[in-house]
Amino acid sequence: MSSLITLFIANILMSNVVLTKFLGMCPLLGVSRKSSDAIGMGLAVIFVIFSSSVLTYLLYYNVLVPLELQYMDLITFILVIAAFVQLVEMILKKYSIGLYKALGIYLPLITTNCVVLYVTLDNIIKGFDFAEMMVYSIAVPTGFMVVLYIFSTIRERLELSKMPEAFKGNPIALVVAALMAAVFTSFAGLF
Amino acid sequence: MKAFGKFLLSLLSENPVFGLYLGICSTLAITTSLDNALGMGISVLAILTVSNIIISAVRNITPDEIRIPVYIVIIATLVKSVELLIKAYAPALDQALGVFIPLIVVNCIILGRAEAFASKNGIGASALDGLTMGLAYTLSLVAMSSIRQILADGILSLNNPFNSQTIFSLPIIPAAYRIAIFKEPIGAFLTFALLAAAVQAIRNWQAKKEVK
Amino acid sequence: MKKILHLTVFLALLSAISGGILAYVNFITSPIIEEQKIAKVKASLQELFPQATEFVEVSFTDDTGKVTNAYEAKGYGYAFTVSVQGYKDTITYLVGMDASGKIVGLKVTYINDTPGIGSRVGDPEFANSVVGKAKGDQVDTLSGATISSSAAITGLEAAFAAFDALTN
Repeated sequence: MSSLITLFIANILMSNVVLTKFLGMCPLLGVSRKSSDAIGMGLAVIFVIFSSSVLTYLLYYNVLVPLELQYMDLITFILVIAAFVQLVEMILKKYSIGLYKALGIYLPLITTNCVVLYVTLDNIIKGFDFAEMMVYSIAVPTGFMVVLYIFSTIRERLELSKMPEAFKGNPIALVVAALMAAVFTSFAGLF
Repeated sequence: MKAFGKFLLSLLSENPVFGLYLGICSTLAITTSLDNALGMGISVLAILTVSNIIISAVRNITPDEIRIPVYIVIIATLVKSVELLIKAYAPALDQALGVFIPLIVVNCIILGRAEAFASKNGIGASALDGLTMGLAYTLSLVAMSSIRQILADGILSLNNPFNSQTIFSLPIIPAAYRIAIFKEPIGAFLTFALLAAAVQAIRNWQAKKEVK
Repeated sequence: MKKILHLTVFLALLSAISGGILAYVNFITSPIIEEQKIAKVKASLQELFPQATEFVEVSFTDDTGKVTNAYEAKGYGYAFTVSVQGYKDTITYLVGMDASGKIVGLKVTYINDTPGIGSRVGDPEFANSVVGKAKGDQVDTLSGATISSSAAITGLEAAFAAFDALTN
């Protein structure tokens, strides 16, 4: 049990997917201008990653492994993710307009969010059992959301700051990311 | 000479990595050494060129509604093949790049060029587009990894990925003055920020020149 | 309806072609990949047991999940691949023990910790400090790299336990 808690906290803080693995940079630079958007995007990502992780994990061990088709993993996973995102979008559109309006615009972006594919592949590479897989698939996107939110609050202030022309926009955002990476690395002393 | 200068300038100002922010996840992650940068760059170059050729070849028979899944299947097949080949013939590279090889599938440059260029142009033009874009990507990786490797290790070195033999190794900075932090995530972000700012400065300068 | 059928057939055909290509690439590369895996361990095993000529992978029991593989150097002892969580990433090393359970050598095969700090577990200083130790002996952590080196040491305890299970 304690190892599951460690896995959870480690993947939110010191092994944060954005700041140590650099994944999910595109949405970080693209969507992070408003903090309310950051939360919406973060929740959508947690939902998609968790569901597609469970789906791909079961598919891999119950279909691909018995058939000895492990080399089809990449194609299967990416298609499952793309189809799943599409499905969620359709269901939301039909049954919950409010939620669709809130999350809808982020959904197409999620297919190309490398965090999703990374988590599904990593579940297999790291040889997780079912419980570890579930914890990992919640922890990683939660770490993504935490960084996305903090980042967006800093960027809201950056809009108003004076800086050299050349650093306006993304370059200064990357400097912020560098400083956040330094801060998050120091969480490593927790254990 | 002037045309070459223009080409160099466009390589900088329209750079897919530092100018358009495409494929930056892998750029930040794997540019810790020149070996990794070249391995990744050449893999992407090859996949991008071949995927552009195939997508261009099937563009007239691909139904429009399912073109994105079709592109994804084509790209994923190529990426998985490259992954298996690297695992078999360049295990050192596989060890260093790890999960970032399969993640080439979601590298926005490849799907981006498929959608924006290869699906509308002939085979020859698409192949050329893939080569140019792949080259620009490789050069960006090489630039960034050289900076990080020199600052962090004080050495610029290149190893043959197929047998791990050293091709060259240049000591540049004495051991006492090396900045190990450039191997760390913070160094990756900082180097990228400075290069992106440089590209933005060039763009601003160009825009000003055009106004005059 | 006809349209949907057309789309489905197109996608199915495409997937079949891609499956075929991958099956072919996999068929060519998988024996080489298998060979590479054994070859890499073999070189490290040879370093730990210079005189041994025959190595075989053996099955083992381990409750901690830290020991991932076990090998027997015929006539010389055993070696274990150990993977532990270091400061920020896993540390993987191969530890060799002679027939009496004394460590003959340790070789770090994967480490990605902070350069100059946690990465020192990968330096010869740490490997040399554990040589000759047996189960129950005190192994000192590296000062300044306490987290990574103590993680490596808990891995050693798991390897000792696996050794006991193997030899008894």
